[in-house]
Amino acid sequence: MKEKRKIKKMGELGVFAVLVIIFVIMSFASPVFLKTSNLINIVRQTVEIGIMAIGMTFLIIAGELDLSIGSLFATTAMFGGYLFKNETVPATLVFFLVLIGGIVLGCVNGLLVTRVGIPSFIVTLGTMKIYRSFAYAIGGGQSIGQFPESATNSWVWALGAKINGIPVQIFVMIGLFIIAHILLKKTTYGYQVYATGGNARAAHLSGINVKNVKLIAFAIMGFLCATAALVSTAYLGTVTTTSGAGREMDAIAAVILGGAALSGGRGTILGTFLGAIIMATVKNGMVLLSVPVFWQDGFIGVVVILAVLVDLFFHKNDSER
Amino acid sequence: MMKKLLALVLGGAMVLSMGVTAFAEEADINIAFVMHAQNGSFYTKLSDGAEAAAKDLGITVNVTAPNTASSLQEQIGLLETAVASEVDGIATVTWDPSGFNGIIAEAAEKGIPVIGFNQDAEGCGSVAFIGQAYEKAGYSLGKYMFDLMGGEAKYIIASCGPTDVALVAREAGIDRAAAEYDGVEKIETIDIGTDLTNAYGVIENALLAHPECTAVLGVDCFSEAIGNVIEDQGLIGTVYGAGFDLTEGMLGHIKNGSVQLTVGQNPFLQGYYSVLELYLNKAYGSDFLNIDTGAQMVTADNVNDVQPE
Repeated sequence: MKEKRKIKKMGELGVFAVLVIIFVIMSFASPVFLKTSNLINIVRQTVEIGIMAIGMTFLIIAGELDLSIGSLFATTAMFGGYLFKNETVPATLVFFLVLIGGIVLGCVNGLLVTRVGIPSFIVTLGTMKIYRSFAYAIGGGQSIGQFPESATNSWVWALGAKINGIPVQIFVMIGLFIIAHILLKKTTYGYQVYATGGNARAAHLSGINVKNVKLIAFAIMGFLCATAALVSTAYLGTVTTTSGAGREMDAIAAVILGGAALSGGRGTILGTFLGAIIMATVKNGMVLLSVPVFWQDGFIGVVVILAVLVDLFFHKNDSER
Repeated sequence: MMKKLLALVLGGAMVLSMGVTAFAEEADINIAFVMHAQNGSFYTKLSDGAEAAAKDLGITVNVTAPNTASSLQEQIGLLETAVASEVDGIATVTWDPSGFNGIIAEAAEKGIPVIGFNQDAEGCGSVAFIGQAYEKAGYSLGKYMFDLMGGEAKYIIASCGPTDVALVAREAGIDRAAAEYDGVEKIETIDIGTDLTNAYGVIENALLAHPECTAVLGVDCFSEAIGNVIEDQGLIGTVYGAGFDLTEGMLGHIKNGSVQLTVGQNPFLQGYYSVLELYLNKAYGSDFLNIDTGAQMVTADNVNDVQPE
């Protein structure tokens, strides 16, 4: 009994073991892998997916899914890019407008799911297309870049800067992971998310407003997509209409790699963090090892399946699964 | 049990890593060749050129591309990895007007030259560009087609990436040619995406919406979808078609008359010369040069003389 509790406490052990294996292999296979600059790159390349995967963790634990996040990312990025470029309002206000925009779009998804009763898969499949159209329409089909000094000299652009060679966005991502972990593990809302995903009916009967729990999770998702969009805009100095395409699957894969159950009720922020790092490390490793480009996607798929198998092994006696 | 499992896993990883190391041998000159997509025969020709150069020169070229076509974020990630790896040179496609400026500057700070191939954004910091003069090529396509149509046309532009630097330039070239004819009018630009099936549907819908259209002009390697629609819908002789690149499908369409022109740009040479220039600079300190790989006009008259690319 005591050992079972111990294993439960080490819920991320499986995914951590996978990460260790990959690090051991890569450190022997590539002389470049363990260089500080490369390790910083891996974490930097985790940021965009990592931030969005935080929101996806809340949704998946609550028993929902969001396929529109790549398009939501693009829409908020284009919206911000348009405002920055045209100097419509001060940069600080643009920052908050983009975040509010993300929350609003997230709430649209949430309301359609919780109030209208359409399954999240269908709702977000639809909004994935709608939000992508918004992105095209805002930019008139064009990229937005070469921003004026009112934007590039503002504090918002610090999100894309580096301090002693370390990108600020890494600190932003880590900060968000810590906040999300506290929210999920130490607050009533976090408990309600697990309860909702574990058994929505039981949660409802015990007095939890399941609809609101899910709506808030969608709003968090929108907020985090907008945050990732702001970070990306400040870092790249440009916004493209194709931004975020395909990122929804990467974010879902990171969450599942992290040990979450698609059926809901199970998952952790730490697990998602490790899952996102694994995704970035494998992608980085493929390049360093000169794996032929056509096989790289396939190899990532194999790693996802293997990692879930390892996780299953560690949780084979876990009744929560 | 847990300790044994971890020991077994780590032991296995060590053995595996020894095997993988064999594939990661050090070479004297190491070049990163970062494309913007990999979903088409055109891109295969680009990488074939780079790999052929690597073989001929006895150097290492690592060919990579984003999993999602034209994903700026993913391509920047690949370039960051190349810079962190301290490669001797990078060849890449800078298709966004300003998105690559930062990473190219970072590479330059570390003494890594970045050469542009296929598409190159003005002022992005690349040391040279190996590719087609896009606006000029678009103009040539427009002139040929509008002359062929007797100076009377209502045309649609089919683009797989309406924001891509090269495609915007080709479109501008076609529009410049159109401006020279009183009877030529542009209807719209459609985004056909980077999937031939999707492209087919978009073109089909555009023709349904604009029955007055007499020409669909492509600006990229997915132009063969134009020929597919014209052929399938029985529009040969009613709607003219043209586009870019010498894909097998496009050459087939020229042979059967559903498309009148395609313009080649020699992707193999773009890949080959990019690597060659980086090698020559590293080995002998030679200066970088822009190379125009040309606009090869392929029509029914010469289609049997060219090979697919």
